[in-house]
Amino acid sequence: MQTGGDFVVSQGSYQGPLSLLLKLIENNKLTIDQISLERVTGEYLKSIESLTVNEDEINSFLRVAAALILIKSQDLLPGEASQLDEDLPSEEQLAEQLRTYKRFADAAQTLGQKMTQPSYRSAKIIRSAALTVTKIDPQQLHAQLTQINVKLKKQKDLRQKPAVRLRSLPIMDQLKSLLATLAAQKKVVISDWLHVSIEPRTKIANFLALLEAVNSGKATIAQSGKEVRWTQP
Amino acid sequence: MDTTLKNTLALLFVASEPISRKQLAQLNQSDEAAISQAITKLNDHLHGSGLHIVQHNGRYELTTTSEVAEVVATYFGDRPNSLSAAALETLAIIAYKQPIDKESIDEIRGIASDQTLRNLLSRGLIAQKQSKGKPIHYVTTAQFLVQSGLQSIDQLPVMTEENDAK
Repeated sequence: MQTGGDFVVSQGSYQGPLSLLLKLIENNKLTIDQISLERVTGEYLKSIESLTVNEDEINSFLRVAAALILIKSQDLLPGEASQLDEDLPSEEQLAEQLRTYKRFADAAQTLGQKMTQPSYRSAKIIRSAALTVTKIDPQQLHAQLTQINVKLKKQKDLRQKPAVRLRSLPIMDQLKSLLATLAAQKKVVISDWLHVSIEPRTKIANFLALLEAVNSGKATIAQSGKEVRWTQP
Repeated sequence: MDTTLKNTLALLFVASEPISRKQLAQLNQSDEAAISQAITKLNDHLHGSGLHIVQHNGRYELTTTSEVAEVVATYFGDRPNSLSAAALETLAIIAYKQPIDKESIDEIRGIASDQTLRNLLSRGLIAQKQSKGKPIHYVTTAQFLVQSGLQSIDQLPVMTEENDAK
């Protein structure tokens, strides 16, 4: 939950930046116009701080944030006619986009109510569909199942798309650093190299660099198990 | 009730899938215009009966109406099959603006709609329509009509006017 002002915005109760913006305007009992966009800019920016969405979605939220900041800055600096970024919607364009979105959001609500009372087809359709299966080709079935598996895997991969782009940490950099330290000091204390204060991702890279150094014969692990020693002359 | 009406209603009752206007015309030894009229008369006749004839892309099927949804759902032991708000938004945009491409849908929603489109496709509520050299467009399906209790796409509720949205 994200609080802002006198209202509460619940994550998951909005479906995108326009939904959030609309909710902020409605919660402040405003109409969709240029003035209300300026007034809710601060609350919008605060709301998106704690969003948990994937990278594509956050770009959409940030684009609207940038447009709102531009609108607010133009209000603070009247007379500045030029836009900082022509790709961003103007005040008027954003208001119009919001009005269009609201129409469809209202229509979606009505549609949702209708879908709670669906029609039903005859059960004969379901029964007769089952009865018409007379011949199954195993090869065809296998091909179709393989296709389904591929599609399911693709969907699963897309769902597992990370919310935040991961930084890559080349192991080679850590290995070079380790070898340089070993060459200079002839030994490295393992507990220092893998100290608890080191950031987890770096610690993993350091550990892998240690393993590589030992595997390649450039270093050995001391009998005490506490140090790695340089083996090169 | 005249013969064409009786025949058409009987055929729609026994059919295991939607029947085309063309096939109904052939079976009735009549023409498609007469079938369209027959369908309109039948729907007038069925009004308030708990049944109606749904029309989609020139094909017809006999279904229950939304008025009796609750009792039929109870009979089948069905639970409501709800869509997320994002899916409903996307579905509403497609229903009112079809055929429409993904870029236009994203423009209206202000956010990418890839996942909701996949969801709606897998539920059979929308379909893809592809013309050579043009981007894929999305349309609603007969299943959408059945699930929303509509007789045809023309029966979609009227959207709010732009002035009302302010």
